[in-house]
Amino acid sequence: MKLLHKWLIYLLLVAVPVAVGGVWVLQRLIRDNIRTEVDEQLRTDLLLVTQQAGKPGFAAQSLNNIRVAITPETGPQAATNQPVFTDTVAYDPREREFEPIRRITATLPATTGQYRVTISQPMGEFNEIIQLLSVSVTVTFVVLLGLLLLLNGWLLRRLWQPFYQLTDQLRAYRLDPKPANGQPVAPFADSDVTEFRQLSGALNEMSRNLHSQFMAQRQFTDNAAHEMQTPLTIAGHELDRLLGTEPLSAEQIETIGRAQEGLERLVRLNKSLLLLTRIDSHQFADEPVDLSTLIGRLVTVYADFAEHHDLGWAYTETPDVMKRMNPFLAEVLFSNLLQNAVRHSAPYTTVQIRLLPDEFMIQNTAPPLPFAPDQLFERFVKNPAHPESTGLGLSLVQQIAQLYGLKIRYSYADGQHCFSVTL
Amino acid sequence: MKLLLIEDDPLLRNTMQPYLEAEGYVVTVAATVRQALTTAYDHDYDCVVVDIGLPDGSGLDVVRQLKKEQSGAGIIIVSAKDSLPDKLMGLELGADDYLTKPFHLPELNARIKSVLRRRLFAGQTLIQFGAITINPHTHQVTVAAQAVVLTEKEYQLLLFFAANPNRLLTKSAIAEYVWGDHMDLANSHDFLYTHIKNLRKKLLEKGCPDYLKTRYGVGYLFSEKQV
Repeated sequence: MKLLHKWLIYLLLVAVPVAVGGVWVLQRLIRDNIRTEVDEQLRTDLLLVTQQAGKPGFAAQSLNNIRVAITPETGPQAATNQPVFTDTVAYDPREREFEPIRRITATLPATTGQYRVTISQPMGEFNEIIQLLSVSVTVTFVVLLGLLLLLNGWLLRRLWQPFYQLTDQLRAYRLDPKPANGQPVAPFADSDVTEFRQLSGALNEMSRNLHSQFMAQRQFTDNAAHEMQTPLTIAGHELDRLLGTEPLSAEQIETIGRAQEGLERLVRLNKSLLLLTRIDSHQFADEPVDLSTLIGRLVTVYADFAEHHDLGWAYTETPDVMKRMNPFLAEVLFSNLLQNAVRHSAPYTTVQIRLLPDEFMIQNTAPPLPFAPDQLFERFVKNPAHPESTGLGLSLVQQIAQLYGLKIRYSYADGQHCFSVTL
Repeated sequence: MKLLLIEDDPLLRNTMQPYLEAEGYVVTVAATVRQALTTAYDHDYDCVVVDIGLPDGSGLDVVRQLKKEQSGAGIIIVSAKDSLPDKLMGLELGADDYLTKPFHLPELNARIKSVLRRRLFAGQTLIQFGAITINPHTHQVTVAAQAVVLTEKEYQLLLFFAANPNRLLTKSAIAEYVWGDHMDLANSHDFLYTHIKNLRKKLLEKGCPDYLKTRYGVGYLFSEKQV
């Protein structure tokens, strides 16, 4: 849920009860006030009537009108002379409905006897005024609230703009930028809002730390792999020399042979690791590569291997497929895919290789993968049936593909493994 | 044949020097660019094997200097870096070959021989081994004046064997020389066996004595001596 939406919900949760309660309170206040005013008016009227009644020669009929009714009081004199307020209704023929009426009743002693005075005040118009007032207040409130929401939404979006920029930058963030721009990573933008400035400052610092750690680590791997080359060479040479000594027993020769095989695996592993770190650090220059020629040559190189493994080797080519990349990496990419197919194919099946203008495909027949397909390109994931494999071949393929933005897909159906590289 | 070996690692020097001396070369060693240049200035060498990473500079400087002095020595660069730009740079400067660490000594030996042949005899000399004659210029092989038709891989195998006679060559050293990095395959040794079997068959068909002997499944020995 967006911060904006959350904020809106809270605002509405507060605003709606306030609006409803406010309208109710307002209505009550206005009604009570009007009633007080009306009562005062009625009292004043009564006072006027009382004064009239106190004059000599008072005729009750003279004061009778639509609001004031005076009738002679024949009953015994009331104990108190307090006026009494009552609410009643009367039919209003004009509006054809019953209207509430406020009425004051009092018994008056007059010069000509005792009278009962009733003064009425229709309240219908007042109620209409109350309703009108409430409605207009409510409408104004709602309109104001709406405007406030809109304004706040717009403001929030504007205020959070630096935040969205930062998250966009973070999403695109990579630890290993191309060295072309020199700068490790585009720094996170500054802002005139303190909070965002703090955030981007912290991110910049984190990025610098991560980057220097990453560089140190990469440098370490690179150096380690390099430094291993010479000792590996020495070990190999000593074994070569040992093989040249006479006499050697069969057992000794076999022991040296096994040592050499182990060393060979180590050499291959080290070479692949070195290559991976060098790809990571973009140490390769690009040039246009004629993939048709390159793949054609590799297909010929591996045809012998395929034949040795009793495999059919079918190549469908497209001439003049060009791609800008490093020629050495291109060779590693495609030869690893070809090797992979030769190594893992079931005997007496055919490997289908296709080069199309925008895609390279290689399909071979073999049992399903012994691990999850999403692990296929991970480093050191290998088929237990081939322990001598480095487990780095397909990682290299993926790494190179990534470097050049090539999309690599793997699928398995009906015993057919299929790799495709979108060029 | 006089050979200058420029390598800063003493252990590596200690393996290379005796091996090359056993091959009949007179080997002088140098550990730095300065030493190498002084030595090369004082003596003429037929071949220089130079490591790129030296403590006081790059082996490429040595190559540059040698070429400037119009030295006739064959130059083989040895590098821990499998880097194409380095390789191109070295060859452009006039080096004859470029070898990446780690390499097998028989491979270095074969390459030195090939460089010397090209340098000293303009590639015209024939390689003679028992009844076998190899023309490195035309890649033609004859046994007792009969042409033997070999595939390119079989020819490379024979050349490697001929360069390292009487020496036990392991399968990995052979495979590395003939197939280079493309030999990173399971069962590659069986594959090698098939090729060697074919080569041997072709040689024997022409009446060539059986020079190729296998050694306990570890490697092969190419020798005129009957064991």
